[in-house]
Amino acid sequence: MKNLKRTMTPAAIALGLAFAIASAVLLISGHNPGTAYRAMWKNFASIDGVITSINIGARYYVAAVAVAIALKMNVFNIGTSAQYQLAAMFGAVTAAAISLPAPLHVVVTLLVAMAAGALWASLIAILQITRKVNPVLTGIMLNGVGASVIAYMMQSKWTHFRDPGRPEYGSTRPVPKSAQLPVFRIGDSNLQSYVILAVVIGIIFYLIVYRTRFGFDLRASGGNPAAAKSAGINPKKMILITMLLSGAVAGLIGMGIVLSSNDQLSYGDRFPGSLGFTGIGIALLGRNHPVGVAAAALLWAALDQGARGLVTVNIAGEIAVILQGSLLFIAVIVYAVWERKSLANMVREAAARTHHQRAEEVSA
Amino acid sequence: MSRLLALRGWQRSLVSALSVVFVLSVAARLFDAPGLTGSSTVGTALGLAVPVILAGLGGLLAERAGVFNIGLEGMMIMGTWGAGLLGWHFGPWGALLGGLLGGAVGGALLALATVTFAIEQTVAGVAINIASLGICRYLSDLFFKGKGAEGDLGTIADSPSVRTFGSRFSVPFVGDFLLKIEDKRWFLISDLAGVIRGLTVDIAWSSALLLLLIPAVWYLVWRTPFGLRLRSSGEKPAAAESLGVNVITTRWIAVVMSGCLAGLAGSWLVMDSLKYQQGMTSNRGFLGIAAMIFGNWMPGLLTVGALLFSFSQSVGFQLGFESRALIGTVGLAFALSALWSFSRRKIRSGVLTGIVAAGVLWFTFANETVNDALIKALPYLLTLIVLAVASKRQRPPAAAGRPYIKGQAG
Amino acid sequence: MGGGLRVAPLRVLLAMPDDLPARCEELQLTLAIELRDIVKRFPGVVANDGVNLKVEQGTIHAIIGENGAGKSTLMKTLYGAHQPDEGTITVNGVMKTFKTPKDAIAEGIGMVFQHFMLADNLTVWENVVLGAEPGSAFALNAKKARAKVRELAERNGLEVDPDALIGDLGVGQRQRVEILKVLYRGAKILILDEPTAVLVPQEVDELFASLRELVAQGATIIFISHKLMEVLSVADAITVIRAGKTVAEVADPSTVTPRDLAELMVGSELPTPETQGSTVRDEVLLDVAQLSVATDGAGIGQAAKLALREVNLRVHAGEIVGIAGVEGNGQSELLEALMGVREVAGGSVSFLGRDITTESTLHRREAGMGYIPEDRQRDGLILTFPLWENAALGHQNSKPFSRGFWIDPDGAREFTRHAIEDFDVRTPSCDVAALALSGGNQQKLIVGRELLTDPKILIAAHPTRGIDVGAQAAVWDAMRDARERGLGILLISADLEELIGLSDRLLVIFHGEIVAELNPQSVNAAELGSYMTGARKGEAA
Repeated sequence: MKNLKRTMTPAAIALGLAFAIASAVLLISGHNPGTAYRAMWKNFASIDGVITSINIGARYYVAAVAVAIALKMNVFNIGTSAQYQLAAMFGAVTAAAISLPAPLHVVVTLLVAMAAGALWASLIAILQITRKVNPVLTGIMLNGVGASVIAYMMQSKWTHFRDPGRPEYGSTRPVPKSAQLPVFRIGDSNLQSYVILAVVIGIIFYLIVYRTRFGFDLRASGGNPAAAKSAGINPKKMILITMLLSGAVAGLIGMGIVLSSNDQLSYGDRFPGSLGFTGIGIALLGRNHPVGVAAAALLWAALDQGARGLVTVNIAGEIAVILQGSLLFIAVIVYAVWERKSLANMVREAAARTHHQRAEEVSA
Repeated sequence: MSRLLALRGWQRSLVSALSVVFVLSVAARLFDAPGLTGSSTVGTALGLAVPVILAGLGGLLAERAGVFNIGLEGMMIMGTWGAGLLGWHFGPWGALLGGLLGGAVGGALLALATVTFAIEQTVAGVAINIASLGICRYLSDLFFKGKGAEGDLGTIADSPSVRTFGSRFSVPFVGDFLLKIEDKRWFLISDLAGVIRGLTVDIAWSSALLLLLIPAVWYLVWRTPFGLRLRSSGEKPAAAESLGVNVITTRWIAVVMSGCLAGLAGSWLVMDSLKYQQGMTSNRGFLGIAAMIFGNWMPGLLTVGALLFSFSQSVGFQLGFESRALIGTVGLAFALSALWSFSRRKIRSGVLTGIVAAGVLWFTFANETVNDALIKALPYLLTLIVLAVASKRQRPPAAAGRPYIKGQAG
Repeated sequence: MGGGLRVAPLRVLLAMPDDLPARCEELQLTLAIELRDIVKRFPGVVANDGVNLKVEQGTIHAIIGENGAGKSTLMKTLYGAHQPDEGTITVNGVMKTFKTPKDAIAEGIGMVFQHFMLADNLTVWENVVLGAEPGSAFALNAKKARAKVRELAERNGLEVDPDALIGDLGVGQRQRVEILKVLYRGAKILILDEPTAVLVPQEVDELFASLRELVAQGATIIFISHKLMEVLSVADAITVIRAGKTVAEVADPSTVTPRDLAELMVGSELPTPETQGSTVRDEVLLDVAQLSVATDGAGIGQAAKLALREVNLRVHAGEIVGIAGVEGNGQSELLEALMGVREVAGGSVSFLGRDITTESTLHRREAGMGYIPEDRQRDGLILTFPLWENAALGHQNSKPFSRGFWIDPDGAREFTRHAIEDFDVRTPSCDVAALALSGGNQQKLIVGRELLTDPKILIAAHPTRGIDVGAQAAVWDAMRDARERGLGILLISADLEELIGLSDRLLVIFHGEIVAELNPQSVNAAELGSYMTGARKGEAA
């Protein structure tokens, strides 16, 4: 319980400050914050609003977990943007090209996507290990290269990739029935079964990081690389494995969009391109913890959903982006300051208690 | 001694620049693409290099003071927005001021997070990059959308038109003379004339003005008391503090100036495109950081690095022949480096580089034209190659990336 | 407060609070520095608890006390690096408050830190003039700066090239730069924090000569140390600090012996690190043959320099082999090469008869190599992790810390509680972060972790560095016990008494080579020192 309070307080402070900033911005631009927040709430608080938030939140969650895995050992995988788009393209192409019985078809498609993401992410690790290139820069550059690779593959001459049946806009061939992920009908809305996949990923993430030997090595390498090395943990190997894992998860970010029977069922021009950076923001907001990240992802998606209601009161939906941006920025600061303070408290407490011990010994 | 070192740095830049021209001249003949060393390609490259150089200088200032600034991209975005607003209202000088101020705001945010609150620097920088997108979009909705003259209305993603400087700048007298030589198509000499002409004639005033910041930053960092304090804050902040230097203030100033430089890069982009457009920075902030690493945190080499990247972009704007020739050039460079490895008895790396060289050269000869997608990827690929070659040998400032909390002296 | 004092044979001036005012008035004119009742608290610790100090002008005044007694804290207070919670500072008879070092500098006080405060990538003159640069705000006058530094160096006999990069200088030269920094600011009162810790005896002599020269020119020097012989040879007056309090002031050092001072410092009989009888067995645990290791900085093009050159050594079961040497002579490289953290350039390492030269650190640890690293906070602990996770560090793949694929938090906690009990680690529980522990308790946790996991051999570097006397004795006891049970220990230490007392055999390392093998029973510290500086060369056995 005390633990919960300790983690919730800074998050609440950050949220309050962010809303204060957004309100100030709204006031300055001549809008009534109350009207804006009511409109946002109205658009969110319905079955459809909530279900949409959960569907979107699930992909945000996967995007954030991909980043959080690497951040657990202080490596930034900023290249998830290209990793998930490449993975979605190859996944969609694979799903359309092969025919297998239903569950197997889905599994193979997901595995291909994971492999594509992991492969692209491994380049970051390899350049860091062998040539000491800053992984953030490699990630950015590979995002650029990845976009070109996709543009190259999606030329009209590659008919295995680009669907000649839909010349009006560029997309892969449609995903057949046997590779589709089912949706659950709730009221008039569709809950994607991809959400279950996201939950499973979260549980595996938790178990790996906090319960396995590998997770211990991972956190130790992030906590103090020199001490980890002295303890027999090979830093290069850790970087490679972590990046492969991160990339594999990143490969699944877009698969809900590609495979869900109520969604795009292909990779193409309409595919969202900003999930990578959103995932980074959410990972930081959720402090890389499986539960914290889940809360952050749902909040982020709920704000998105609410923002779509702002049109009705003539306010730019971008206020949600301001809210998310300032929340992220403030949260990062508040978390760090809070953590420093609670560590200092811990030191003081421990010292006080051991002094107490000593005093008892003397008197006894 | 230090003068000698500086001279050696310049000589090194000069020698590498000359050898690049030489390889390019060979490639221009070999692959029949005279535009490779043409003054228009080089001139465009010089312009495109300006924002990368400015971002790199910004990164240099911050990192020499001990703050790794991965938020340059976001600061540049804020700069483009500010330049769009003030440039639209007050013309070119307004655009410069707007970029400066926009970048300064971004710099101040990063300083607040990393210097005052000692947050992990990469995290704070990435947060700024993400936040800047939303801020600029919202502000555009308020200030640009539906505003401006008839037929030139702003939107949530664009500003109304921005005016830039009317005339362009040329170094007097040399233009016609160099043009004559360039037209002769003499091997190496005409190529050199083309390159020099591209660098001296018909330059946008915005480029000419902003390029003056290269020596300015060098002077500030290596020739003033503030520069020494800045470098000491990035090398050993505890030592600086023990001598009464205020590390926190010094880093604040450096990071805000870093933001200003990135913002000015945004000004250049806005004046080049004649308006603010969402997404117009297209990763130049990150390219700037790459140039800075390539340049070993020195302004001169950083400029060379930025020119290499922008050159490959500039070539991409030409017809397919030049792009093909550029890829061929990369192949030649690999081949040379393979030979160099062999001469130093590094057989394994020589063989590896040789295989890459052969592959790239085969690709060049096998294809008449190059796919557009590949051309777009070329600057990124080249940057990666350059980083892979340069990173291992570089020496970043000792305390760069480490938050400093006051009172660590002693 | 004078309770535990032994004063009988000494002419000691007691720092009694009631007679202070009178004495102060009387001495005020000649006192360069007077600190009264200084109290400085840190979270959970009172570092200074009413310290008094009086330093006369034109003297060398030594402050002695064991690690953690509060010497450095006191000096940082005097230098304005932090502010005291209580008490007053008087400089040349005027009361002062220092908010930052700048204020102290303005009063003519300069400090030479124990850990050098120099930027490696800047030149000597840049380091010296930093913060007080000649020229205008817009142009740094480098020529003037260089000339000034050269002139200062020549006048005070502190020769060093103003244009050299600090990174290229040796320890002695760096210290000269530190003193130049202080003199450049016109300091008349110099504080030197453990200046001899990093110097070889010859350099110490040079330093002392410079200090006397400075005093002759009118400077006042405050000299912090725990090396008693040095203190007695150079100081005009001595103040002894114990547990944050002034316990004695010695006005005439010629009246005291090192033993007197030591007991004043510690407040009780000193523990000695002696081992009794040999437990050395025939079995060779560790066999290092012709081991060479390259230096870090070996860049492209230049021939690799060797930090370690063809080192041969053996450690038997039940034997403690000590490695003596001035820091930076290859000890770090030897440690890291033995643990597989650093690549070797040549030679071989065998452990239990098996060649492990190319094996990973993990394999070595699993085979039974325990490791106490040089710098516990850098290499031995993850400060933000709880104690039980720190206890698993280095043993994370074996029982009781893990079971197969999974970690075993319960098993690890159980083990940690044992370690806490056996090694008297003072902590509220095994769930607090390692950074909540004092340095000595952190060290005890590491020693406990390494000894309780049943190693065959222990590679121990400075196992008692920076910890208090009680903890020191506990660590020594633990090592002696383990030795009796057949553990082999390779002991690297800068504490010569520890080396001589504990080791069965002593090897001396100098410039990366083993230059002598000595019998600790028959060697004394002075003799050992001459081997360590390369002044004498023995025949390596």
